[in-house]
Amino acid sequence: MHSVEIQARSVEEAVRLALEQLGRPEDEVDVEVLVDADPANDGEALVRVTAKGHAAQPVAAGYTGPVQADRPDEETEQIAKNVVTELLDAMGFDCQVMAVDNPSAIDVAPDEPPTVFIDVNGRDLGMLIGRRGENLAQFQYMVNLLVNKQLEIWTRVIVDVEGYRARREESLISLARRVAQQVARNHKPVPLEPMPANERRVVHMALRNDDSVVTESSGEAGNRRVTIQPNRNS
Amino acid sequence: MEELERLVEYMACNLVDDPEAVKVESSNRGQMVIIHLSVPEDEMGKVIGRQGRIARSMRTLLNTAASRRGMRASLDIDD
Repeated sequence: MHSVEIQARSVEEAVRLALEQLGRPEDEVDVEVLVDADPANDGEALVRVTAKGHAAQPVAAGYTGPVQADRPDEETEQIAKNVVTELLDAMGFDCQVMAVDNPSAIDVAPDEPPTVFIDVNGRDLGMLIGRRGENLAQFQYMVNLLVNKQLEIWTRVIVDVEGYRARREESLISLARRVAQQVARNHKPVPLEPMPANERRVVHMALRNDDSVVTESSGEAGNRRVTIQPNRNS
Repeated sequence: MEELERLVEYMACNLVDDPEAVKVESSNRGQMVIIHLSVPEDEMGKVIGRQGRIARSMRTLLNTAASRRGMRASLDIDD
C-alpha cells in the first residue's frame, strides 16, 4: 500500500493515522491536505498521504505484470465513505473510515465490477463484526445497496472492520495450503467447512497454482463448501 | 429509542424512491423497543428485498445498534 486518504478531527490526527496505516515515518511520505478541519465541514479534515516515489508512478511501456483494475474515481470512493460514515453514525459507532488500495492478496480482475475497499477502525467494534463476521456481512450488504442507489455504474464496496477480513483471508490461505499438502500426500479428498462465497473464492485462488490438487465447490446455498481433491492428472 | 428510529429512517429513506412517504414510529413491548416502518405499497420490495434479504440486513443493523446501547429492538414492517 502506497497511498491512503484519511478523515479525522484534525489534519495532525489524520496524518498520524495515515502514517500508522502505511507503516512509514513522516519524512518518507508526501502529505496533501484535501480538506482542512473547517467547522463548515463538520470540523473534519481529509488528507492524502502518499509514500515518496510512488506518486503517480507511470507504468513502464510494455508492462506485462499482473493486470489489476484501477481504483474507482475519487467521487465514487467519497460516496462510499460517506455512506459508511453516516450508517455507522446512525448505529452509534464513532470510527475512522478510509478508502484504501486493495488490501487483499487477490487482485480485482479487469472484468469484475469496480471495487471500493473501505477500512473502518475504532474502539469496541467487535459487535459490528459479529459471530463469524455475520454482522459485518449484513452491514456490507446494506452499504452496497445505499451506495449503488447513488451511482450509475454498479460498484462493489468491500468493508473491513479492524482488519477482520484481512486476518480471515490470511488464515484461510494457510488452512488451504496445509490441507492441500495433506491431500497430495494421502490422495484422499478433504471437504472444508461451509463458507460464504468470498471465502470459498480465497481457497480456490490460494490453490490455483498448486498442480497437486484441484478445488471444487458443492452443496446448497448456505451450506456450500470447498473440497480439496488430489489432481489425478499430475 | 429516537436514535434507533433515526437509523431505520436513514436506511429506509435511502432505499426507496420517495423518502417523503416513509414513516417510522416506535413503541415498547416490555424491555423491547419495536420500530414500526411503513412505506408505500409499490416500494415494499425496496425495503424487503428478494427472500427478505434487505429486511434481514436492516434487522441485523438495528439489533447491533440496539445492543450497543444495551437495548433490545425489533423491526416491524407494516403492510
